[in-house]
Amino acid sequence: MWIYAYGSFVRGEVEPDSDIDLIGVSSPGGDFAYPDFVQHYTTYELAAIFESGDLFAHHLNSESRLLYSVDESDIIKELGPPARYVNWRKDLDSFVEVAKFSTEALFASPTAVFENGVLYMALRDMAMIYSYQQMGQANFSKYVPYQIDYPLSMGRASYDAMRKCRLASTRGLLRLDTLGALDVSELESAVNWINEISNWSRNYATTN
Amino acid sequence: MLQRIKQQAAIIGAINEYCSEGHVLAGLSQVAIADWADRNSNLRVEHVRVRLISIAKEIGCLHDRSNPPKGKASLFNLELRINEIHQEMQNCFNATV
Repeated sequence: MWIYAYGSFVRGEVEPDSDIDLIGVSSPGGDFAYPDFVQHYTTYELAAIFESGDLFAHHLNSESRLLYSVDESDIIKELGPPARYVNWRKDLDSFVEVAKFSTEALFASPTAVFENGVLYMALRDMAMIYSYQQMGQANFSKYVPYQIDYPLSMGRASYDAMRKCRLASTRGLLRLDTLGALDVSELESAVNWINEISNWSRNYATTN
Repeated sequence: MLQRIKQQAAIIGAINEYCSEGHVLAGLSQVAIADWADRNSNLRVEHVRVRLISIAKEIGCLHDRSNPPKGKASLFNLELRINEIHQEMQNCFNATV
């Protein structure tokens, strides 16, 4: 068994609502019962993720820190760099679809917690994919939409409110009575950014 | 992914038709469902909580983390599940009258 940490604690992006992202890796057939908050894979499953070049593999490759090893080996380091992320455009298209769905829902109901959280997730993942493909190195910060060379113009307070909604959806953390309504102009700036990133993707695919 | 998100949004929307601000369901993760059941315990929502857990397992979002799982959404009778939700929530309100 191997246990790794990755995510905001490893990046030093620690906030009061941060949790520690942990991943457990086990040999096939091993009988380990992980807590629900630990993502877990067999060594074969992890190797397949690295061979597929999925962005998650790049995330682990760049951030993971070994906390425990059954035999002092480092299974993620031994896998080596992941394959190229060839499915970036397909994944980006999926997140664009999800982002457009959630912005439409939020124009009708700006306080909808689930849709606010989904929009945060889609914007963040679109920016991660953009950073990988356009900027040469994937950035996994929760604030990556503001750190790429085509930054999101939505106010940080609105983005943070959406992030807290995502935490409420996945970890049940939010005082719901503190959530204000997302401003229409902020939603419009999100829609513009989504369209620009989508256009970038179409142009990138045809010129490269 | 979009199909899964839409399924979740529809179920959450059906529940929240009955919930006031501050008592809404935020997601279909196990933790979000438990949190919602706690905040609405006065409505005796245990049956609804159990049904939501079952629905979340069908959709594949019970252990939702930062990103929803990849892979195709399962075949899922959304209309039937929404009707069940409405029935359960109406039962809750009737039981507390």
